[in-house]
Amino acid sequence: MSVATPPGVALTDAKRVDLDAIEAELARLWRTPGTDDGPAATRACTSNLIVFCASRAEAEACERDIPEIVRQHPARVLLLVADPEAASALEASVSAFCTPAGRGAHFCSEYVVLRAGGDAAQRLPSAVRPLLVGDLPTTLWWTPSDRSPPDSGKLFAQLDAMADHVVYESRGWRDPVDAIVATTRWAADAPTGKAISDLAWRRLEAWRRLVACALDPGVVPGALQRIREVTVEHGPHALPKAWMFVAWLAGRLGWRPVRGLLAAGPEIGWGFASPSGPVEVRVRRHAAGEAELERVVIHWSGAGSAATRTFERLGPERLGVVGDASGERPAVVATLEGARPALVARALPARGGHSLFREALEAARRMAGVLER
Amino acid sequence: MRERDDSNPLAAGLSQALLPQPCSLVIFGGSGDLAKRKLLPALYNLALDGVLPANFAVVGIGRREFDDDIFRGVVREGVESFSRRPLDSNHWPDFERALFFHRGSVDDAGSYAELKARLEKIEATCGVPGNRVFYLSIPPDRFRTCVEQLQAAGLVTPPAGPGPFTRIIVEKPIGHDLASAREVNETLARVFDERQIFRIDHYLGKETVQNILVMRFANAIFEPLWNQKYIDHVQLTVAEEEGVGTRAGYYDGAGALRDMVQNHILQLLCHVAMEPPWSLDADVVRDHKLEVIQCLRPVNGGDVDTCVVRAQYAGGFHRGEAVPGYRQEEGVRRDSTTETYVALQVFIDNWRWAGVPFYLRTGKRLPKRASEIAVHFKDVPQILFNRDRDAPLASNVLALRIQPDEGLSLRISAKLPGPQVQVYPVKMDFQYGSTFGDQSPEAYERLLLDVMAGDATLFMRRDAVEASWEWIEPIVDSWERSGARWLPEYDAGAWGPVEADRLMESTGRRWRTL
Repeated sequence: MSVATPPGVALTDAKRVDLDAIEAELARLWRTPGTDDGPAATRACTSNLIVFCASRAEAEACERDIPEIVRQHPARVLLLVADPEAASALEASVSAFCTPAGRGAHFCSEYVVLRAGGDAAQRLPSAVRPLLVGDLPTTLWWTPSDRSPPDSGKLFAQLDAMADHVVYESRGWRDPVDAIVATTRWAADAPTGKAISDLAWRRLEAWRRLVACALDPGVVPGALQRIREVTVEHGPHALPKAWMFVAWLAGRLGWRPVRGLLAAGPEIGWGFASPSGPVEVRVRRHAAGEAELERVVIHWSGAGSAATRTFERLGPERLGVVGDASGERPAVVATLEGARPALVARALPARGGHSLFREALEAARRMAGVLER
Repeated sequence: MRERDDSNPLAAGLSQALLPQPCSLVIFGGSGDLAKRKLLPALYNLALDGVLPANFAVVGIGRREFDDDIFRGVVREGVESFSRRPLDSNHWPDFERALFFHRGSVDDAGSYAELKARLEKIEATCGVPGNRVFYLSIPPDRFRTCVEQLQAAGLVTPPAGPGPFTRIIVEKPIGHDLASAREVNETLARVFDERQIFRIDHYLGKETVQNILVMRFANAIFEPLWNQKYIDHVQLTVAEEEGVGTRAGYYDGAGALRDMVQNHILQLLCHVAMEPPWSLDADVVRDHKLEVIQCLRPVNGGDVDTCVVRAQYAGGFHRGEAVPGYRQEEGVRRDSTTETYVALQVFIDNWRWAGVPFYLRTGKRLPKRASEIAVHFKDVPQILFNRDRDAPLASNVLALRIQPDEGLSLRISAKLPGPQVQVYPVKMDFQYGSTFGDQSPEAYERLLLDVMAGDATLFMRRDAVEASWEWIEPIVDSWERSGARWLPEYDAGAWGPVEADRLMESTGRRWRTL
């Protein structure tokens, strides 16, 4: 297996070392006064970041993302690559990513790559454990996205046990229903204080903000309490995201799912009981497009009035409120959430908001519980 | 820092607990320098972060012969020159469409009627439900005319009850003495309720200033030591390396005490010295800050001479370049006795701080731009490692760097490696830039968003403004009575006059080198 020099501003070329020589090599990096004609570099580390990749292709994608992640959140990065097709061996390389900090200074994050071929992957946790910097939070970014992390076996369980925070992405789950149930159970059993972040949930923040602002009691008094219908349209592979969006509404507004139907075709429907009456929700998949929410239509009525708000994805990084009460033209907000490195970097320091995510996850589980297939 | 708004359960977990409301931001002085350099780039960055309300409009008002397109071009130039992030061509058109210009004069009643009509059209176009924020980026002597005309034109709505809101933002200086500050406040109060008034001190929007309270109250280790038993003294420094520049017209009538101490420095002092609030509610926090000002020992009469030093910069060198003295600067009176430097020794007379001197200093043409709060702890007993009276240990110092190199450091003593026990001061350092890689929002971004959300925590309340003037005035009065025809000088590029050094040295202390 080749040892690629990480992209971005690398302090030195990646150097292959024995596993028991990793710390010594890292220490040597900081004793060496910079590169030949470069300035001295300062180690910056606010956390441990374990990144697990289940294939070479995923590892290459992560190696492109990591420089931007550590630019925003300096960390000791431990990239674990499980390559089932390679010969059984565990190899390590050491380098650092550096970010210019002005006046010739660089702040650098340590970067250790552990590549495990074949069944050597089961040795990865034992290699990782001594490399974690003490007294700092540890985040596990579990990149495989075909199934939920807790369904991923013993290797995940061992890495999970080391982490204060697990980041994953539900976009791409092959069986969203089972995956949501498994994830909720895992989240419920997690120790107090453990943080869990779904990047797909984070991608929803712009939608949540847009809907929260548009339906704020200061803008449309009483609307939140009188919602009767919600329609969510999404692109392929975005069902978990749409599901979590509905779960967010249900959790926040006190809706209890009473029935659900997964019809043949692209639509799922739920009926909820809310404090003020029934709420019907439809989630529809578009045949083509990006793995994003495309449109949300919320209708409310009661007390002698009715109104609808339509929220649309108007293009890359642009959401808008269209039609009724948006004014004479769509009201548009920017969303800079798209790129994965930025999402991960913003997730890393987050400590608050996890109770909200768990609330939504629990609501999603209840929705799964009433679903007839 | 704000409490959750439980009236909107959907707001929970968003980066703000109080959501900004759809509104129009009307900037009087919209074609001026502050708007171009600070306000509009701040709004642009808020738009880029997706935190501005979707339904939003900016209306700049001024006498220049601008139309919407020219104004948008000027704003674009401002964003390109002064925004902390480059112009994003993907998002610029959406932001640009929300910008409008209304040509008018503060003094012309007709302008306000036209403004009202124009606003109604803009709000219909942009889907804004009539909420308005008026930003008075105009000289304070125009405030009265402006707010009275706003009211006369029906542009001000009452604070309570349903219906759109009206808020007003004013910048410091709020008056130039107590009487004028009261007059400004009365002028505003005749038209607006206190809840509608947002007095900006942009220092309060700085991340590092907000971090003072986080550091004190989100960590268990500092508060037990944060009192007169453990702290020897505190130094607050706001140093500017520039001269008076183009501000002579204002500055020569104000001086360092009014320009910096009355607002920025006293606010920093409040953050350092306040009691822990029992809530992050705006008025609870502001009540606790007000108490600091109320506990300040008055400085009057003979105390002014012993506790306050003022001076002017003389010609000197700034980073190797010769620069003129203050009275040689363009626009400054040749016989000016306006201070460009002031240093004070102040005391807060309460249980927590009794006997602890706070040294405040600020000046222009100092060696570098730096704002810092340095908490000096008491010396360890003269035993053990501190028994050599000829070589006392350096005391522990917790330094909060407001700008630049935002962060904080703690000076401690450590043993030098080797067979002897030699103790040496070392610094443990936290730097915002290397720890949190992304750029912090600018102060105005935070402040403008808070106004739109109706959160007044970071804004000065009327009573605090007047209390700080009340404390400042005896010093100013004493100076005026003294009839001094010249002030002590310091060379441009030096850290201030020798008199300031003596102020500290007389107590056995020294100014920190920043």
